[in-house]
Amino acid sequence: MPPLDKNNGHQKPQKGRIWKSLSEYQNSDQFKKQHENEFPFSPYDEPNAVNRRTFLSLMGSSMALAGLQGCKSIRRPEEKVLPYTNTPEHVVPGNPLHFASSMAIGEEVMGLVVESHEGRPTKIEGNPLHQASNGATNSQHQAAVLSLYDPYRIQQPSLNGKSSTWEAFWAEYYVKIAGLMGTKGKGLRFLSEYVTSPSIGELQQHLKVRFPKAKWHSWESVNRDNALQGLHTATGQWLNPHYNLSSSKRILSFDCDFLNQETNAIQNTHQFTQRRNPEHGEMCRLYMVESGYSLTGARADHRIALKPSQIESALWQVANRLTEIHSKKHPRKPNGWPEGMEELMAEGAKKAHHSLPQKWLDTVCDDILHYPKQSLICVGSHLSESAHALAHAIHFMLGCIGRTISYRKNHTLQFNNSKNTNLQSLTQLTKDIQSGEVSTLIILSGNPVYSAPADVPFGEALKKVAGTVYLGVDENDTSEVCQWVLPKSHFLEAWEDHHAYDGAITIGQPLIAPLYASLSTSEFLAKFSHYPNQKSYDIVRAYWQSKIKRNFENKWNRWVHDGIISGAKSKSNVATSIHAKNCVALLKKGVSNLHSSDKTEIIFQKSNAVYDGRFINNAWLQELPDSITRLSWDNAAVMSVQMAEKLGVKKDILLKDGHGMSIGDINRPLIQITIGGKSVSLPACIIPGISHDTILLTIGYGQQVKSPIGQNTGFNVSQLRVSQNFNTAEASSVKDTGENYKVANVQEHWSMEGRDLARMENVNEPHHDHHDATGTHGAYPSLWDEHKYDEGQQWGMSIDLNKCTGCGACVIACQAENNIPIVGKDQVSRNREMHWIRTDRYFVGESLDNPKMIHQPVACGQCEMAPCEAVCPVAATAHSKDGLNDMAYNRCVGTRYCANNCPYKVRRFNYYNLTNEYTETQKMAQNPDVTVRFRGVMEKCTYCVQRINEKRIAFKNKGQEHVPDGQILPACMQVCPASAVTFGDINDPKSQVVKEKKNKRNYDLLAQLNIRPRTSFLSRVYNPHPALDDSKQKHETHKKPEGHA
Amino acid sequence: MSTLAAETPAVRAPLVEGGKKFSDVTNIVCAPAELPVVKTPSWWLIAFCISVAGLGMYVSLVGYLVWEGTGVWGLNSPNAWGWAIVNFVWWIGIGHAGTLISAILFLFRQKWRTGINRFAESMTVFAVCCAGLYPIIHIGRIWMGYYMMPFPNQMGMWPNFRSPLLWDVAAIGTYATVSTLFWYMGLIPDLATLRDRAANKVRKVIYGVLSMGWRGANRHWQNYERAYLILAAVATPLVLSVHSVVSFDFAASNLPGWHTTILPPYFVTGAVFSGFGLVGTLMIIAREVYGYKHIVTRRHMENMAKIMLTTGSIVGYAYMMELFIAWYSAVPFERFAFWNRALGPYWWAYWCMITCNVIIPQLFWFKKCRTHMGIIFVVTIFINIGMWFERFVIVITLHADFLPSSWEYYRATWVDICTYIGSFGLFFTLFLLFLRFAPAIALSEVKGVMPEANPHHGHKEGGH
Repeated sequence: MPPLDKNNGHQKPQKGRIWKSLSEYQNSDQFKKQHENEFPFSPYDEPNAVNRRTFLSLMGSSMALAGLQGCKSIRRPEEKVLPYTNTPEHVVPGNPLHFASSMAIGEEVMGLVVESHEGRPTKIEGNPLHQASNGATNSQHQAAVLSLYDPYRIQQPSLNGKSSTWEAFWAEYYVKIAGLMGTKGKGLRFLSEYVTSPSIGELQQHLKVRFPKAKWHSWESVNRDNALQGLHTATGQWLNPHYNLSSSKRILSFDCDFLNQETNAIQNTHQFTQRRNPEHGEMCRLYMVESGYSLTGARADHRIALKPSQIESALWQVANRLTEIHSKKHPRKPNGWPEGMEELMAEGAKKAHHSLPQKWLDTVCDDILHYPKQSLICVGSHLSESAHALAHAIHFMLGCIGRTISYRKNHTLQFNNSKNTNLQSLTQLTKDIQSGEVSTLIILSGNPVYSAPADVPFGEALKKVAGTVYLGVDENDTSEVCQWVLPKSHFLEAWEDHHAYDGAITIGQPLIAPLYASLSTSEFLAKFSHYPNQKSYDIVRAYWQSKIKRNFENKWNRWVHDGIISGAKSKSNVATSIHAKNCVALLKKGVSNLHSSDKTEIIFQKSNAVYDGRFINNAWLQELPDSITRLSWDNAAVMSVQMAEKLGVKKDILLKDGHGMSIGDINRPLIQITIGGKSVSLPACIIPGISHDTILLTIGYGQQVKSPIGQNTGFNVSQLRVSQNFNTAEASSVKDTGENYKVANVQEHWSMEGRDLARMENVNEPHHDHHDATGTHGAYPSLWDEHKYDEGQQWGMSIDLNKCTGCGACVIACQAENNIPIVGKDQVSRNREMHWIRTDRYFVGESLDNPKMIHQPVACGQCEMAPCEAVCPVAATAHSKDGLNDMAYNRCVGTRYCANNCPYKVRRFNYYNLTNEYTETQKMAQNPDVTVRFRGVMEKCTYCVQRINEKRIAFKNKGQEHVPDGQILPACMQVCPASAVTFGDINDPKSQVVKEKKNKRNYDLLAQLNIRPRTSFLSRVYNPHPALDDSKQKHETHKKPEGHA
Repeated sequence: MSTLAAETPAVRAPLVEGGKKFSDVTNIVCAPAELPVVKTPSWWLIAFCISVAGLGMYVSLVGYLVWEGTGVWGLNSPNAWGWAIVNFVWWIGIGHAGTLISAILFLFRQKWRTGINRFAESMTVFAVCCAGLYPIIHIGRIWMGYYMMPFPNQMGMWPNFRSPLLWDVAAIGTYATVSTLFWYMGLIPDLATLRDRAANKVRKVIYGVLSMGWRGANRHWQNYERAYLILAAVATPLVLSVHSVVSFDFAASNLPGWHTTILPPYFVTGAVFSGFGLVGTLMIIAREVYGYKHIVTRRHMENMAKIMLTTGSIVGYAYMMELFIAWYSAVPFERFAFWNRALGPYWWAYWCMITCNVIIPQLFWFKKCRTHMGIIFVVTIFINIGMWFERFVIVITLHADFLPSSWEYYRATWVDICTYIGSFGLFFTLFLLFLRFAPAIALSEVKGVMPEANPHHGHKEGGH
């Protein structure tokens, strides 16, 4: 703009002319020119200005030049890469595929459905087509996927501790095999875990032809030998008993934890919980006689704790009493009832230590005889052979067989020790080695060196064998002693087939090619046969092809798809009678063996987490707190309060209201148990309700493993076991060492402190109305217009405490589904475990001798008035419109205020970067639909929001806004064997969850806080016998809690 | 003693004893700051070295914390807050005496405050520094801490104004700002005195810059006094609000033992109590070391003892009221929370708190105890300890809330303990620097309450 002309500037404006600026007033040519242009300062008009295009082209070329100069910084892979243009069939990136498979743990086989993301198996579910599963699994199946990706698996062959190759192994062993063929296999022995595979059975036959003098031994330290042998003696057949709990009205269990520790527990749980529904017909009544405190005992209506030696006495008492009354009622004896049984029973009862209170005995027997054909006597598989024969005789007398109990032929014994027991087989092998008959021993997984009885020196003997081979997944005590250690494929890496306990036959499909240079058991065995290069697929398929005459292809495809071989005849029940002579002889032996002991008795039981020790390297299972003791990462000497008092290790732990503060007690006294010269020190864990003068020891811990997960976890109690009495023992001495040991206990408190948390009611009493906790929404008046949550689908959950057994499968299912990290023993002992769902365990009752036990799974309740949301300063946790309490990890700064304000304490904080050091294989185990959390953020249950959204998207694509009821299964719901969890849309009056919530037993936990959780609970119901009713205890829990001040 | 003995309501003891003149006061107060560096007293050097070592420990432990994660502390579930929050509340409480003395006592024309206000204000500022760091370092992702600020962002997210933690950020921020302004403004005339007396160029420049051109002009004084009054008025509600807001962290939650309406007044009283406790502790030391006995007289100390007695008793009343209301409410969870405080696994902390905060300060009913420096010193130490335990008892109520299944013991780790000790390093480093280089007594204000400041001074009674 030119400088203002002074003269013009002082001129008065012309009349009537309006001007906005001096330039306009001057009205120069330049101004006029500029004025014509609408955008006078546009850079496009400047000839020399850099316009957008110039800028881009200049930048582009300079970048290219810079790129040329920095060529070395481009990290192009040197290998030839192939684009993912030809996708594998069916794979849509982001959409998981599901394949049927199956898993064997000892004798128990479970049909599975495995989820695979882009070729990585990430989550295991039960196969609904397999009745033993019915879609559910236990925690060990859930955790199996972690074992697959375990970076500490045996990855390559090694010879005497030095890494080697398969070629080197076969170079040595093909020569050996050729030699062995010459001697007909003399000196060749196989020692395997329990074999359930018919195709391996076929391979065994091949090997028998090739090496007629070779022998096959099986060793499972957790077995049902007593039950099998006892039933065989009593009936003359090899049988698997099947409980039909859904038609059992009266159940009397003698140390039989059929809901948890026994075989087929998942199916049992399913059937039992169906029968326990007070809304659907008459509830069954469960009497429990046991030494420890099992999950079945926790569900019992009446429970008596007896020392292990007295359990069989009690059984004889009951048998005699039942026979007495029954024969009075029905003087005509059943067909095939052996002579002299009454006398034998009377003799047994006379000899029996009178352990059961008379009133109890009379009442229970009367009750059972009210429903003779609908009652069931369960006998723990570790009890003696005669106990099983006796139970069979009772069932036979009462006419229960085929009704509450049925028998199916055992198909797998032939693949193992045939008629011998596991103990006999291992003892024989040890003897043979000692006498120099064994030159080559091939051990097919397991850890027999660790689990062999103390008086069977298998470990010592093994060192004498000229050639030892160990094919296994993990390095342990046994692999340490063997010369060749070879990697075995995980079951998700190989084709398998199995005879399940219930007679079904399952196909185990692999989901991934072996991660390491491993062979499956069948592939390895095939190397010894005529067809050494068979793959596991060929072996399984060829076997079944040989069995099927027509239409094999179609059937095979169907079977592989279903995971179950349809039309297996093995599932049919077998008619049974009593083999009079043998049975009576066995029972007589049983009577003569009855004794009672004044000494402290020991029970050995398998671990709910690591089983017999085979899952010792599985971190999920190690960190899973025991359902009863709530300990993780260790085993302990579990004992009653009385026993602890006797040992002088009782601390101030009391059950009564207001005196139960026993927290912070991470140091437990170490007690030393000596049996037959061997001593083990392990921490004492006091659980009320265990029989007096009894100590429960869990096997499987204290192995010499290489993995840092399993190393130094727990104590080796296997060395205390002797073959004479493998499952129980009498302690020579038990004493307090005066030392302490740090344990990782997730719940130290026993009592509910009189609070209304896990509710229990008596089915014989009218439903109690809780005035302080109505459980209905909108029960409290509100000061403002609340959000209605009445539009769209609103998610809610109901957990039926009357179904939950507290098994903990949901905990691992949740961990697998939601990428929940483990924290390790030290962090658990600092109470920083990350589980999104936990099963709280409480004891209820006045007495410390025999309190009731109840489990309550607690996860985020997705409260509508969530206390966590109000206090988060950054709004990282907020409500979604479908009623979920969402957690935005990226927004969370980690003040932890939400965790403080959560009354359920379900929020978990990443105190450390727990996911930072995952190996490449561990990364493969993560669910890609769920964020892997960083340190410093809070996390919690989301109702498996990824599963909700997956279904929502799927149905939206179909044009449906509403996801139909039952389509969305959160991980905890899907896994639950008891179907205790129901999830769905609470806005849909027809949904299952609404039906559950309308149940009069439904209540909100801590409803008085008015936080309106979407998860509600259904109270547990007991069905006590009126004559034995100790419901005074239960009244206490119903009473509105009084304070302690 | 004689002056004290002579004190009657009608004739108060002089605020500056020993017949000191203005120049004497100036000399006494400026002397420590004017010592040449080479003549720095050895006690100061030793104390400073220890403090800096503590500060170094603090900084390294915070570094360790940030590197490893909050897991290095003893936190767990359900105790998601631990020593960090205890220390935060404790330090912020310490910081209360300053504002109270500066602002409220100023407004109430309690002239005796002049002897101790600078001291108390400095303490406030430094204690707020120590306190303010805790909430920052205790969060899981420190590098994301700015999410708590309402700043424009591409997510269009505000912080959650419903959260008491956000109120905390505002309250502490305001408090830190106002108390720093108040403290610094009060310093300006005295810094100018130091500048004027400076014997070398460096000091002249530094104090010159710091005194912001103060010339002591009439107009300066007029503005200064007006501003001081306004700041005092602004700061007064802060004394009540800051700790009330801090107490909302607990009171606005729904936990038994936290969710109580008594908390705001209880916290404020406790804060004043603990603030006076620490002022007392430090003042007694400084009196001895610096010879301020004539400026910070026994009367000052006795007045402080009276305040401690009053607030201590109020706190004791609050403890009893808590128990009563818990019982009276008939809510089992509330009853349990308080029963558990007194008799549960942390009974030792509770009774330590009662002993230190309620029982021991009762000594101040006796004039002998109120005026005996040794006794006051010991009692103030107990108060400092007791108030720490009070916060511990409150925070750790977390260990047993609604579901007994979650109840767990909380144990501090060595990192917790050393970080706390280290925060003293931070405090004393700042404090010693202040003692060494700044006028530790408000010169101009003390002079203002001296007889010479009275225009009638020197005239005969009733003259003029």
